Amino acid sequence: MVPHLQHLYFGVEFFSWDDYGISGGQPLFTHIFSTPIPWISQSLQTLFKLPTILLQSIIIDITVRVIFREILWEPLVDTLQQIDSLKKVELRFKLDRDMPLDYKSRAVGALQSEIHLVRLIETGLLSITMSSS
Amino acid sequence: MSLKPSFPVELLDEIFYFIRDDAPALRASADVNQNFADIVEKHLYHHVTLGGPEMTAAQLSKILVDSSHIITYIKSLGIYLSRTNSLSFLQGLRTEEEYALIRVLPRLLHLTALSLHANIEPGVPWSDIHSNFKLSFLDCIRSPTLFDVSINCVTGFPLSLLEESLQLKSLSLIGSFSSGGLSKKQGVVMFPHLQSLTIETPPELVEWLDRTNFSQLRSLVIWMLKGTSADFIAGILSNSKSLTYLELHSPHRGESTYRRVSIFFRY
Repeated sequence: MVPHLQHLYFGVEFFSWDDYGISGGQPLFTHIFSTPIPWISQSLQTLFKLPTILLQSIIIDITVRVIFREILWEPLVDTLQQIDSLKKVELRFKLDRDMPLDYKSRAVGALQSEIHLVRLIETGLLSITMSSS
Repeated sequence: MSLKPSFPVELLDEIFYFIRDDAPALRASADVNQNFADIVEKHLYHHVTLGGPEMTAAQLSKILVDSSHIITYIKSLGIYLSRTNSLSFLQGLRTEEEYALIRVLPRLLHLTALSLHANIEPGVPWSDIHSNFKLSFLDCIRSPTLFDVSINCVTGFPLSLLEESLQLKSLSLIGSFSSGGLSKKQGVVMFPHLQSLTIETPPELVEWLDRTNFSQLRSLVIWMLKGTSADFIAGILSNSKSLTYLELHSPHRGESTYRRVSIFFRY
């Protein structure tokens, strides 16, 4: 479908917002967290015939506006492993200026030991960087 | 007799070429001596931005009166319609700056790149822009030597006006547009030389893209808007066999309330 496509870039964000309401006469506070990872996996699956595409590199720039945890990385990792031609995947986190100072080191450590991401890191396919804005 | 050590002009020219985007460094270089100033001049005026803090159209107009040769140096022009300008547009008032812009644009016959930006949400209506400016702008984007066009937040710009700019190599369309006047024939819009395309995804632009052919497209950047299905991208990809670079920006972005998510995930 796109025989010469070599480089793919995603620009996405982790962010959250608060929702307030009343439930059963009681005030209800909901913290809603948005992760772009399912959208990336879905885009890769629907836009390309994955086994046949000759994609060489994927950069995922993630602006982080909120402390994130419990991200489900497995679907993305599984999808990336279907692309035989891939030589490089970069996960580039950009921390919002309001993030805690020590968050950077904690987050990098957690990501580099995440059970699914490790599968890509160990093969040399995935690199993770984190910078502050 | 001693010889003054000096770099060849060609070498200096090459060095200044690489700092074209650094106007303060170019100005400082021009202050070294007249030889430097002569070489720097064409790089200093290679790209001109009007409507920002750098220069007004009135100032450029005066420069061109005093030194008309600079016209040949100006290859790239950015025009920012500021809040003050747009308010005056809305009120039907014309400032001296706008008249200066109307006068200066037709003189810039060596442009290869032209961008028009509105610095105000949700944009400046194309219909409120002075008719003489619109005519000059259209003349520019149809010039066979103009290859790079950006239209940013100029609301209601008719997409049909681009159909005579088949020479374009780079096109950026951000904001909402008008699909009025478009030909109904499927696949009639051809941009045979277009190599780089940057777009947002309002419905009218998605519809236009669906019937537009970019046979030489190498680079595609898409800023997805909330509620836009990604299905149309597959259509573009199937018609863009030369594409080597694709950039997708998620519709789920947190920085702006009107772009907030339609799909979210709870943990």
